Amino acid sequence: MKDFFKIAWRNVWRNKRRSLITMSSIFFAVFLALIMRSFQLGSYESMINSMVEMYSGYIQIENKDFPEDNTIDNSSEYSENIISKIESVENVKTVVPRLSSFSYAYSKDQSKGILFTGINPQKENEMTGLIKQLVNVKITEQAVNNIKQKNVPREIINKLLTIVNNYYSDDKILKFDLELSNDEAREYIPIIKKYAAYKNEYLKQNDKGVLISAGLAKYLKLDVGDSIILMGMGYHGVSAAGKFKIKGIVLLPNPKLNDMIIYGELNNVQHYFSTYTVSDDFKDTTFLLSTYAVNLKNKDDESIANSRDEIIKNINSDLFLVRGWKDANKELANQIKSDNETGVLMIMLLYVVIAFGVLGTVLMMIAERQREMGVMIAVGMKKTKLALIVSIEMAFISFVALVSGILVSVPFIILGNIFPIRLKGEMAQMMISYGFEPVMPLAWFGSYYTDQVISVIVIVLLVMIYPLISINRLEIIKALRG
Amino acid sequence: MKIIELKNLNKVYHEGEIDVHAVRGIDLSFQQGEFTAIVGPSGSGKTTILNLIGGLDNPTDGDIIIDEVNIGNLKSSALTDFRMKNIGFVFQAYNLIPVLTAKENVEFIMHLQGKSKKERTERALQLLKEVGLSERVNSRPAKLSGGQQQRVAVARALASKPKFILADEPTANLDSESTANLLDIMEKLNKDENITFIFSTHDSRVVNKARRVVTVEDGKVVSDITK
Ligand SMILES: Nc1ncnc2c1ncn2[C@@H]1O[C@H](COP(=O)(O)OP(=O)(O)OP(=O)(O)O)[C@@H](O)[C@H]1O
Ligand SMILES: [Mg+2]
Repeated sequence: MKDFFKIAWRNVWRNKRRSLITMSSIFFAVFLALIMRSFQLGSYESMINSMVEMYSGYIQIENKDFPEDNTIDNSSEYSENIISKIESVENVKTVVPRLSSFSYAYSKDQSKGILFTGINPQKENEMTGLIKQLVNVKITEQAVNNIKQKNVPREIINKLLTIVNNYYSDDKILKFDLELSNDEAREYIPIIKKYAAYKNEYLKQNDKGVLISAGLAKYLKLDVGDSIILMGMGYHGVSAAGKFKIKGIVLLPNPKLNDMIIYGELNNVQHYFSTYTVSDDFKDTTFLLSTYAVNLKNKDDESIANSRDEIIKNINSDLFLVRGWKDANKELANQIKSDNETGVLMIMLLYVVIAFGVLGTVLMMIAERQREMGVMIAVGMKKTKLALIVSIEMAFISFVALVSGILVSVPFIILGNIFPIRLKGEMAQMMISYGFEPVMPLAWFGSYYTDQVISVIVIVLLVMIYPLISINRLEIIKALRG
Repeated sequence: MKIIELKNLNKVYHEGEIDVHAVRGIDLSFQQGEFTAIVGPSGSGKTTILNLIGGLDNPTDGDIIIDEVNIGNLKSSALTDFRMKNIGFVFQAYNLIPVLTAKENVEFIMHLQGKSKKERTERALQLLKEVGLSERVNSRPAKLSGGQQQRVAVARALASKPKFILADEPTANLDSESTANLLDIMEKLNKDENITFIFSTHDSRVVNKARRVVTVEDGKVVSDITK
């Protein structure tokens, strides 16, 4: 056996160029497939993250009429009892109650349609990380003037001037917008943060204030401490109006929401919209909400379906509609599905091309070695052993190519995952208009790696069929005659 | 002792529409220790006869009996084993496995036979010494001259301790000095160790060394002379 490896090893290197070309074609196929796949899966993750994980939840529970007519009149019962029934399902991570409806917001000289959303501050933060989205830097002219005094390079000041009135909640984005190197970031971001710091507060239990999204704050020219007037239609035609103090500004990853959302404490918003019912004897008040957004521990399709079934069983009421995110968000689910199919097809095409390339080299190799294979069999080597040698050669070539393809992809995947490419220009605009964060992260390592390994193994096995058959059919006499 | 017996051997090749009758009813036998040349004009059937004896090709009709085994009855895989154990081959050229050194080429068959590493190494070195290549044991075939390659091939053919060695025009690609050298080695092995050689040739100098000369023409034996 050891000697077969020796012969195979030397055979691989007797035509170095051909082996290297074969290896590099497999290598590039593996590498490209992995990066392509990672980009794709990463962008789905980012879509799902900004739409599902960070907002709508993997399961949504609503009034059964809400999907068809999503007005405040189709709100459903809100109670701790229902929440604990949902939470009792093993796979449920968080249950986030929300009441959400449209209203108009008025500032001194602007007005705009907004989505007023009542939340449980603590639970909402658990799900969406809302506290982290509180703005901590606002670039004002005043701040830029102060920073100017501090030995900050002219270029950076100029760039700061282009982002005046922008909000930031994440140093990475600030660094990106200012196009700073790592060293520059380490030196100047603390200075910028010192002079452009933005003071905020998150909502507390029973808070009467609101948080407004950064896009909206910019549009309405409002800041923390200002008041905002909201007017709209409440439950069953009751008019809703209120004046709220702005406690904080949040920068939301979902660009659509970032231009329109105002968060209030759930109870406060329930009172604003009058979404409650009072029993006939005036003793009990039942508060209402639009949605229970549920996040799960395991998020694969099967776990979602199982958790959904358990929730339905636990709530045991036909007033509610319980849907997985793919049902509740069909557009996104379909978009991902069709895009994914295209991607898989592309990779398959790539592999087919590579498979033919590899087949070509294998055929050449077999043809070249007719004579020596004839000699080997003539002197007593079994065809199966000869086939074994050729298989070891191909296995070695593809193994090296596969492993190096995987290894070379690793740093790209890590970097692209931690520092996703932030899109600019039209592409970014397009993604924002679809409601997605304009980033192209690479997906972290996952089963798509095993998929590529399996694909390459299957291809090599398929490609090997022909040479193995031709060895089996080899006629010594013909082979010896060359 | 008779080690090979050919009985009414026939071989017909089908070349498209035409049948080529390469061997026509040959009856021949060979004894242990022979040093025999098969001669005849080109296309007379020399290679075909050697291939049939060596079990590399199947006869259309007739029997080949080697040491009481009728090799026509062996299945392909059993036949391969039989070749490995009983027959040594030297072909006209490109006999050797290009990626193996001279020594490894000689060891190759012993390896297939499952001989121990120690035995393989000792025997390979011994055989290469006998064919005068002690200096070149670690050279690959591409680094050896045609004559040296043929000597390695003889050493390899001997390695498995075969009953006989078949050599199809072993000197065809060699100059006269290498030819003489190879022949001397074969003759010495035959005399000293009683190794049976059956070889085909065109070369009269080679024919002169043979102790038995079988002449074939048009697939038939036309003379069989033992000196
Ligand atoms: N595989 C084959 N298919 C068809 N015809 C063949 C085949 N092998 C040999 N022949 C034919 O059989 C006849 C005998 O050929 P063979 O090779 O045995 O002759 P030879 O005596 O060895 O000739 P040479 O001295 O040229 O080597 C020739 O007519 C040849 O064309
Ligand atoms: Mg011939």
